[in-house]
Order: sequence, then structure tokens, then C-alpha cells
Amino acid sequence: MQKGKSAKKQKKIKKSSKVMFLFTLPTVFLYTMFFSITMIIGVYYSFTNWNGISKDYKMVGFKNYITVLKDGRFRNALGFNVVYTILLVAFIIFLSLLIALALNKVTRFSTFFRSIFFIPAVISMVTVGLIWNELFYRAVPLLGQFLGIEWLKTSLLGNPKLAIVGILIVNLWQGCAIPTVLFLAGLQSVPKDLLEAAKIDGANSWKRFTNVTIPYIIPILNMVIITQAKAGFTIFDYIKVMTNGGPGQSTEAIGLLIYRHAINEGKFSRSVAESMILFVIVGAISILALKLTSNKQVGE
Amino acid sequence: MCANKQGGNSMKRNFLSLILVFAMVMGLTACGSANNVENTVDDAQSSDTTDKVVEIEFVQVKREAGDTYTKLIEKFNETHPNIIITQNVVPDAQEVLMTRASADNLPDMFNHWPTDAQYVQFAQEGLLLDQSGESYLSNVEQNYIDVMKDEEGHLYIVPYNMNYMGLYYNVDLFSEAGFEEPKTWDALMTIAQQIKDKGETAFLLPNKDSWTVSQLFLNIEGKDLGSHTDIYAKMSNGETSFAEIPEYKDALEKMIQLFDFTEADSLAYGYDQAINDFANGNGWMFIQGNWALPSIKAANPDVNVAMIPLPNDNGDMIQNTGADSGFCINAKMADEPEKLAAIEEFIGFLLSTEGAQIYTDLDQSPSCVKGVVLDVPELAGMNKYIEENGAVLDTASLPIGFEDTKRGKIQNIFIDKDVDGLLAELSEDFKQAVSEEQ
Repeated sequence: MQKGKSAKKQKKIKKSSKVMFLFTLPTVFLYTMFFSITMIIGVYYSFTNWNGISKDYKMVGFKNYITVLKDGRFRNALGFNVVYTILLVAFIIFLSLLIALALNKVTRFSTFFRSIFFIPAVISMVTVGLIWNELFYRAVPLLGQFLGIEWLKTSLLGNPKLAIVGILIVNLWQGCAIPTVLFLAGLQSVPKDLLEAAKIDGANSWKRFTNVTIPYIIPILNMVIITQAKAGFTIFDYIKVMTNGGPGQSTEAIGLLIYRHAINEGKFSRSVAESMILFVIVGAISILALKLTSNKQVGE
Repeated sequence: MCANKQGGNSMKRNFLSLILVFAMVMGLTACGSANNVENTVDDAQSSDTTDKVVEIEFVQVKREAGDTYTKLIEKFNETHPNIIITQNVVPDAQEVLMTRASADNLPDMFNHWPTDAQYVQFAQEGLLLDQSGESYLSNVEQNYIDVMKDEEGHLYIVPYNMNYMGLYYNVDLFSEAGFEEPKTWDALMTIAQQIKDKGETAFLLPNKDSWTVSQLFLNIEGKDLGSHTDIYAKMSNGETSFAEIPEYKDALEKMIQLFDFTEADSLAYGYDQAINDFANGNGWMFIQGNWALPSIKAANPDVNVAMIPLPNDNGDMIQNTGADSGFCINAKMADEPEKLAAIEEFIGFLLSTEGAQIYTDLDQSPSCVKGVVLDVPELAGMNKYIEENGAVLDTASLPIGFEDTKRGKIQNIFIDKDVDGLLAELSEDFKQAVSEEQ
């Protein structure tokens, strides 16, 4: 009797995994065509001196990579991205978790509040940048004058030291939306009876949070860290629209440098070399993040 | 009973998933079908041989001349109703052209700046059609054509109009305050200080848009250096550099001086905003080129401005003029004779005395076409200076990519005021750009 049942079960599992496999094929196909293959072609071009429009080019080996790693401008951009990413990841986790915890407690009009916090995610990044451009130039200085804060009286985007803060504010405004939703879902997966048991045992809310809640949301923390680190290192849209790398070169991120080298300066092969180096950096950080938190999550 | 329930549910589910797949497939085909619709319309039109409609895409890179070209196209269509010219004006035109060039999808025709490194690159890579045999060239002043030809006599761009840079000032504000036109740099600084003492903005510098900063640099040093052809040639050979030519250092120091007399937030202040403010009297002076005049007058038709050469230390300014824009034809048009014929008709019209006069009246820039009269009262001061002292035609172009590197870095002069540092960087970047060109 049991043998028959498990044989049936195995057949069922085989059939459903076949179907699931078929469902993944279109995505794998698109991914291979538009990502993997283009990346391999890009790596090929990074070993040439192609300028983007000429019909012939020469193979130059690692020359592009050496030029890029020696370039002070690239190191500057890398420094900018490192600082920006650290700030971005820290603030996004902090703010999103805070908002998610608050939304978790809200019972009345919960859908309304959740929608409000999610709306920035549906606007395009360029539109958001343009809106904040005007806000920074016209509205924020008024706020600064009212509060009497000196550095707030002029547009943050025109201040070489504070332009990065301006970009960060815009990124947080839009970037917290999806992590908030993710954390909210994660918080709801924490078993309520565990929390109650902890309460009965005398744990205060902070202890409950760190010992019960956090282990359950570590997979989400992982995902948010990796995606936001990737977002921080590949930041482009906001900078292109709001400051275009300026003032001076104070917001020239690697993404912008890659774009400039390709489109403005016609150095396509060098641009691809920079992209490859960026790819390695983001990949390394992702692996590091996964390794660091893999033994702390629930179920491991 | 259980079996029925399950049967009913799976039927519903199958039906739902079928609908979703159907919707997805329709969505995908809709993306592809848009192109098909256009093609069938084209086929329908071109199959009518008696009234052949030809469509030409004209990418027009000078945003401020958009309205001017619209009027020219309307006039052209009065005599050539079957040639449809679509003017395509985009922001960041050079970036768009570079993207299209790398995708092998350049427009049928476009205009460009003859001294711009991107034009030089396109010409060198064989992307442009040689126009040296075209009949409409007879309408253009010969010396401008000769300057535009390359060493083998090919002409990849037909020059249309000239430009020059100088200093605009608000005539009403000046006469109220009793200021005279400054003829030397010191006189200019004195006036600026007096304006600042009144609590007003002397110079409107849109420093957020780095191309204006780069041109400000060119404007100032051009007054002392004149034509740059020899200078850039010597820099390419390594015989000299930005750091070794004193006029460049002087120009950067003058820019720092100007920074004292401009708006507090100039690094967040853009070109369009500056045009608007100057036209409405919110700034007394505007250092720009003649191309800004139509935009200023469009923002406020009643404003009373005049343009004079930007003064240098001694009052013996060299006034540079440059080729502003010209027309390029996509080299692929050689394989499409109908389109090429239509483009030749259109350019022929633009270069006719009639067409060029319309352009000059609206764009208010000196024309390269014979027989065109430039009568713009605001530019009288410049034209008088040029009549008395002559003008220098500066057609030198920078190595590929250098102008963009310069634009990325030139704003730093307002931030750290490190003149020697910037000159050293620019010299190094120039050398690199030259070596990457080989």
C-alpha cells in the first residue's frame, strides 16, 4: 500500500517539477540572450580599442584595464560609490525596518498607509529626479531660510560637499518603498506565539526584536543588503538627471563615468572595461554578504 | 463529490490561465506590430508613383533654432509638398547621435558644429557623405567652404552660419545707472563692483551647465589668443601645453574674479533659467554668444540689450568668429537616390539667398550664404568692432573626447580655485586624448 502511495507521489513530483522547469525556460532564454551573451561580447570588446563607431579596431589585451585602474578619476568615482553605498544600505535598512515595524502595528486603514509608502516605487527614477531638482532649487532654500540653517539656504545640488546628500535623500525617498514591503511580509512571518512566549519569559521589546524577529527576517535582510549594495554601486539615473556628475566632479559615480566614457568621449572599449571591474566588485560584495549571514538564519 | 469539486476548480483554473496566456501573447505582438503598421503606410504611399512622397528625418542639434527650422520647413513645403521633413530636436543631441552612430542608425541628415570633435570623428569614420560636388555650394561664400574641406578636398559639412561670443548688457539698467560700455577688463570689474554695491547681480553665470563654463573660458582666452589652430597643433606635438601658455592661466584667474559678482548659487543655476532672468532684468550682464539672442528676446520681447566684445586687459581684443553650424548627410544616402535627391532639394533651399535670409532674420547670426543681410540692432556694437578691427575665423577643433573631459573638470575652478592644478590636469588630459586618437 505504502509503496504504491510513494510511487504515485514521486510521479506527481516529477510531473510538477517538469512543468516548473518549463516555466523557467523563457526567463532563462531571455537572460542568456540579453545578459550573458552581451556580457561575453562586452568582455571581448574590452580587450580591443574600439571607439564605438569605427568599422575596424585592434586587440590591445589588458591595456584598457590597466589604464582604468591607474586613472585617478576612476579611483575618485570608486571612492564616491563606496561612501554612497555604505550610507545607502545603512539608511535604507534602518528606515525601511522602522516603517515596516510601524505599518505592522497599524490595524485601521492599513491598506491606505501601505499604499502611501509604496507609491514612490511606481514613479520612474528620472521623473523623481526632475521633481526633486525643482524642489531642491526652489523649495528647500525657503525651508533653510525659515530655519536659519546656512547650508540649507542654497540648493544642496549646487554644493559640492552636500550634493551627495541630496542624491541620497532622493534615493531614500524612492528606494525605501520595496524594502519596506519586503520587511513587512517578513515581519508577518514571525510566529506570534514565539513572541508571546518571549514576552511571558520577561524579554523586553528590544530583546524580543533581536532574538526572535531578526532571525526570521535575515533572508530578507540579506536580499535588501545585496540589492541595495548593487543599487549603490550602479547608481546612475538620479545623478544624470540632477547633477550630471557635478558640481565639479563631486558626484561623478562609476556609472556616470562609464556612460561619459562611452557616449560623450567615444571610448567604448574603456567603458566596457570599467563595467567589468564594477561587475567584479558588486559580485564580490554579494558573495560576502551571503557568506556572512548564511549561518544565522532560521532553518540553517 | 470530491472528484467533481476538484474537476470544477481545475476547469476554472485552466480557463483563467488560458486567458492570461492569451493576454500576454497579445501584449507581445502589440509591441512588434507598431512597426508593421508604419511600413504598410509607407508602402501604400510610395506605390503611388505620380505623387511620390519622400520622408526625411532631420536631426536638428541646435535647440534654440527649433522654431526657426520649423518655419523654414513650412516655407519649403510650399514649393515641395511631397517632401516631408521631420525635424527631430532632442536634448543632449550629441549623446543621442553617438548612441545612434554606434547602433548604425544615424538619421538621414543632421546639422552639427564643424569644430566639434564628434563631427570630426564621424567624418573620419566615413559616416558622412561627401558634398564637395553639390550644386548648392555655389551659393556659399568660398572661403568658408575652403576652410571646411579636409586635406583631400572632401567636404563633409556645408557651413551655414557663424557665431561669436561676447558680453550682453541690459541697456536700460546701464543708462539708468549712468554706466558706459566697458572697454577694458578693469572698467568691467569696476562696473561689476558698483552693481554689487547696489545689491544686484552683475553677471548671470549658469555654472550648472558646464558647457557654458567651458565656453566662458574660451571666450576670455580667445580675446588674447585669437585663432587656436597653431596652438592645438603645437600641443599635439608636445611643444606646448595649457600650463605653459600664460593667457590660459590669466583666463582662469579672470573666471575666479567673475565668480565674486554672480549669484550665490551659480553651480545649481542652469542656462534656461539664466536666459529667463536676464530677459526679465534680474541680472545686468550675460556673457554668451550671439545664439542666445533669439532665446532672450523670446523670453521677453521688450527687453533692451546690446552685445559688445568681452573686454581684455588692454582693450585690444581679438574677436574670434567660428562656424556655428552646418549640414551633414548620412553616407548611406548614396544608396537611396530618391532620399538623396529630396535632401539635396531641401539643403539647396536652405542655402538659397531666400532661405538663408529667413534663417538669419530669425536666428540673428551671420550667414555663410552669399547675399544675406544681417540687420540686428542688438549686435550693432559687435559688428562695429569687427568692422573696425577685423575678425579672426577660428576653425580649430580639439582632440576627440577632450572637450567633454574639459567640461567635466572646468567647474572645479569655481570650487577649489586651484588654477595651476587645473591647468596641469588639462595639459595631461589633452596629451592623453591625442595619444588615444592614434
